[in-house]
Amino acid sequence: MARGPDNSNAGDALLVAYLDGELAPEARRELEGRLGADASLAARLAALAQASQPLKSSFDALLKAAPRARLDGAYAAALVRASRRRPRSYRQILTAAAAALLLLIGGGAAGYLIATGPGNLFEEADTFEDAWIDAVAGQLSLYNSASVEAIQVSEAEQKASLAKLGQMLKLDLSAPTVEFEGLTLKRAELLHFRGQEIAELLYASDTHGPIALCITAKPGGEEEGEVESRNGLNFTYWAKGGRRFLLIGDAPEDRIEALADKIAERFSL
Amino acid sequence: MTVAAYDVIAAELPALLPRLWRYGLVLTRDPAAAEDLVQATCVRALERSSQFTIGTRLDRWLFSILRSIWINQLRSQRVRTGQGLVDPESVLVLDGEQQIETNIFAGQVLKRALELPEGQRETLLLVYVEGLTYQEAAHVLNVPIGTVMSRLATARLKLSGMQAPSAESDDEVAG
Repeated sequence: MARGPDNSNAGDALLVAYLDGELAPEARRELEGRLGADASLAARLAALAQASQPLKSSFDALLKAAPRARLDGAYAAALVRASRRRPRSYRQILTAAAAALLLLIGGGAAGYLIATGPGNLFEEADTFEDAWIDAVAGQLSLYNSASVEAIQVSEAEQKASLAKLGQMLKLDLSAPTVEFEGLTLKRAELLHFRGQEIAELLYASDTHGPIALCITAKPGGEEEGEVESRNGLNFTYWAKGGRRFLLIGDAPEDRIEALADKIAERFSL
Repeated sequence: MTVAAYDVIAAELPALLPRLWRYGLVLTRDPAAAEDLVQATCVRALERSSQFTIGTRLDRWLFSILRSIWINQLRSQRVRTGQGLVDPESVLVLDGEQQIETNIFAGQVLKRALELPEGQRETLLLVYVEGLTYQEAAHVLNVPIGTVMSRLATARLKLSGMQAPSAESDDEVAG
């Protein structure tokens, strides 16, 4: 129950809460006592009561305007996407696929499909994306704080690696760009996966386990991921400006998310 | 993995899509971004179904998820990519053509409501349109209940054209 507002319109906030039936019994009785004794307060209450707007009906117009077929299409895509990522039973995958198909057929979600591309909806689990993340997660899970801390690379060597990787990705990977608070860059190296070159920057973290940032060239559209878990590591990936980024580490979800925001900002092209 | 929670969400989510989109629209003031938010919300809700407690309100849980995605990802991304925030005038036009049909008065109320600062307009929506209690709204918005009270009072005064003692204050608490 409401206790009190936190700024200077305290009086009005109390009156509005009273009108909304949100005051605790004690506060309500106290206010009613004051209303009986204070004519200007009572007048203010009456004015506030009169001034209420037809908000519900106004906003309900937005429900009517909702692009329902497209939202059904978005939901169908979400069902398939979620079934790809979650460890699920065969029955659930079938249910998701059937539900997605029904929505697409029945919902007339053609607009959505054209916008997102049908390939996106029916990608199988074994995409480059998933396999790549699995490979990096597998590699990173072999490290702990001590083993990553133990990596010794000379400054000159690291500078040369960053320059080479930066050249490959056509990105500025010089020291200030790849330095983040609370993280120490331990190694920058070139990895290969299914013929694709991947730059991996491996960090030791002051407060958590190892964190890796992988970048690979990837022509095509933009994509945005959310923080997910694999092999006990949290990760997020996104695509922008012809590059694909994967941030993965033994760190809490919010740390990964905040760091990803910072990295995306650094590399906003 | 909680199969039962997943099944409840999958069964009830489709009917909630328009309301999620409306919340997304109130936050983003952009129909296409609202659609993206709805899809991201669906994916996250399905993936994290085990975190949903059966017997509690699914709509509240989804509102929290949608808001968190907006705050943590899309909003900052839009600012980063220079898309910025959308002019409230353009909200009432969908797909460049299809005007949202409202009567003139409701349209004016809606337009003025969408011009309020983000914190005020989402609080207004949750309490007065979606029917959340102050306590529930405070929980979804992750603010103290006093902030909910201040925002509602300020928003109501602005919408009615009454003098607000602190009319310019959006009283956003830190974070």
